Amino acid sequence: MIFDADLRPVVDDVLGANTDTAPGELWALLTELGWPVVGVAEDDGGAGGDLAAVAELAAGVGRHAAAVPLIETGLAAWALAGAGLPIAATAERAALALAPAGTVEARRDGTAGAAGGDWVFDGTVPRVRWLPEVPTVVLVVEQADATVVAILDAPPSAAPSADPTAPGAAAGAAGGVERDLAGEPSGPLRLDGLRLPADRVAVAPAGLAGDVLDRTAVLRAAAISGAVERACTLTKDHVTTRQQFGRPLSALPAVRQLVAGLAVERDLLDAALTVAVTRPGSGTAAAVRAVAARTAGTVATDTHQLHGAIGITQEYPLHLVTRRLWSWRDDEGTQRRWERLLGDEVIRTGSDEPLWSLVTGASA
Amino acid sequence: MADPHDKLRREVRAFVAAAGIVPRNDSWLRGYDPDFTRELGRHGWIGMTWPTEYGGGGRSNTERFVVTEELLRAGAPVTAHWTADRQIGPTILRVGTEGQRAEILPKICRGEVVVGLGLSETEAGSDLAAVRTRATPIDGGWSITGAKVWTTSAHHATHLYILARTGEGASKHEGLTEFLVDADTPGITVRPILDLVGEHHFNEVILDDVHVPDDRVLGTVGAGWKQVTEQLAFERGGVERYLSTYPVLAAMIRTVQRHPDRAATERLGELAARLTALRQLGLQLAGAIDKGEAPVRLAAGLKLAGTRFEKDVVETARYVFDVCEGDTEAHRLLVDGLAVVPGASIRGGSSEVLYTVISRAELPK
Repeated sequence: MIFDADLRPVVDDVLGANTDTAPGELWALLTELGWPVVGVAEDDGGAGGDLAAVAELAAGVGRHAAAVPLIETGLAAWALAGAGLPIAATAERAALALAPAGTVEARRDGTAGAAGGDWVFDGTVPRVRWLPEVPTVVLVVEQADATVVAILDAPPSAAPSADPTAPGAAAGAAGGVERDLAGEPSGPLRLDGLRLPADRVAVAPAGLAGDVLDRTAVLRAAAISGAVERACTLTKDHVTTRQQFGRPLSALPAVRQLVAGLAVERDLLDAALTVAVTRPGSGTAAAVRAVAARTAGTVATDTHQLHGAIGITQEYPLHLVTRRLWSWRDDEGTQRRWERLLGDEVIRTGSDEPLWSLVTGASA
Repeated sequence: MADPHDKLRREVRAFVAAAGIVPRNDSWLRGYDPDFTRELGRHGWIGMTWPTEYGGGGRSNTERFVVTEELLRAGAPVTAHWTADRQIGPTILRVGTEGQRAEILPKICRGEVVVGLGLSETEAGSDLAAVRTRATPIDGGWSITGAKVWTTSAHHATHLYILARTGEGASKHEGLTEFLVDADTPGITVRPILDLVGEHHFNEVILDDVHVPDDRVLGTVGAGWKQVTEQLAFERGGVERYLSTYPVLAAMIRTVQRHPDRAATERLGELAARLTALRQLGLQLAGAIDKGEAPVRLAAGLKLAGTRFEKDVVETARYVFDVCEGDTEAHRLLVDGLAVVPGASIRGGSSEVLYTVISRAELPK
């Protein structure tokens, strides 16, 4: 899938040539290129660029199995800019913690009077990708009539900070750094009466939380599409070079059929991504996220099957993308969760209008 | 992004609403209604991509795509002109003579032409190049003898498209020629083949020394294989490859809204997500045709995934109409849909053949 034809070869050059570069060094390179803040307007301190450009970067992260929080940092910066907060805090990598309505309480400290004092946060965001290894986490709290966005310091170590209620200091991942199947760090963000000064918090319109979730869904799907593309490419190379029974595997009809099926799944995901990028919205984001989760499972299963035993070794690179597919597909909710979200929208009126406008983009 | 074809879409919707259609699945194959077809012709919705000098609308394939998707959404009876509009008109435009274009295209646009597609034979189904129907040169034309099967609407046809062998070559792909035969030519017998529920849509067409003048050859004698494979991109890549069971899907939405059920809602969400992707592939195909391409590989993928989707719609409906108490109309559509889906992944290129087409593109020798 090509989202941005000019950017794609550059992404391949940079991420393809730095698969073994130390994370800090790679991050410095990406920062120099301005990639973490592509998609954030230049007036807000970003590098500019549309959603297609950000999706191209996300797909690159998937294609090259890049172990950097490029997508998450970009989302964190985008959320801050959307809330009118400075994005500088994300410069050294950031995680994004999305708190759906009712999961995290955010309130002003009443004792400070009408002028308003510190903010106080209570609640937990169970799984925050990259949280244990980044200095900053951007918290997006969905409320009934507003979105509260906050900048938290996330201690890079597993140890909780000495004084978790000290202003600006967030609780990190208590109980050690978890690594998920992708090998990427992740952990729960626990907020027990965390206090933050008012300059680290902004109240934004209610729609922002949903917009951040939609953007997260689309970029996750783009990353999945990149990993899918790589898995398919590795598979085609393998079945055409690996000889069995005196001929390449690709001579076997059953092998050919599986490869063709993979190509169709890949094309469908790319088509759903095209819709989500050209017609952004909650429906098209949920649609592509559901399709991506489904495709991730099918592609991981079938590419492993076609590789045989070599595919399940550490030495062969297929696991770099399939482990990410298995992990990423369940971020921000599994396939069924996204399908329910979309289903609720589709049955809203009882007529087929919501479905038809989702599918065609036509107004009712 | 605003829909650039909003006005056209609204015109079609208004027309469809006024027509009072009882929706059917597979309405492009099972919905023969010559009056409805002529009415569409009066609105300029047949041959709408063809040049105006031949009665066409001079519009884009993307616009045609909008019209056809709105018609199938409604389950409208569009069988009478479907084959002519979808693939025979475009074939005439691409390879036909000036005389053929001037004579036939305006009639198709008015909804006066019904074409029966004579491709398959008893021994040439998926292996289309195995056709045995033979055309031998006679004075001023050809004599065609043979038999075609699965010819939809042949009993209503004004014209029969016939793929016949006119010579032998090194491979069976050589020596094939396309003809457009007037259906009232002596020597043609049409016999019904009833489908599994007893409906008459298919036919066997027997050709016994049918005399066809030279000016009924489509394109180049002997180049039939190349021409027909290009035609298949049109045949396989349309909205009818994923919208044939849309009336069932619409009935599910109505049903679940009345009797909410979490699993049913999730299943509808799944179908909605897949349909979004399929429709985008269809739109890309229409765009590729606008650019003058014959996207055979893309069309094969769309048909393969689209017909699988159609089946899943009907399978899902069994559950949804059970737990959410589908009404009489819902159950009528389900029964109708169940009868439709077995043929969907066979006609116009079986899924197995499509896998072959795609794997050839993915794994070149």
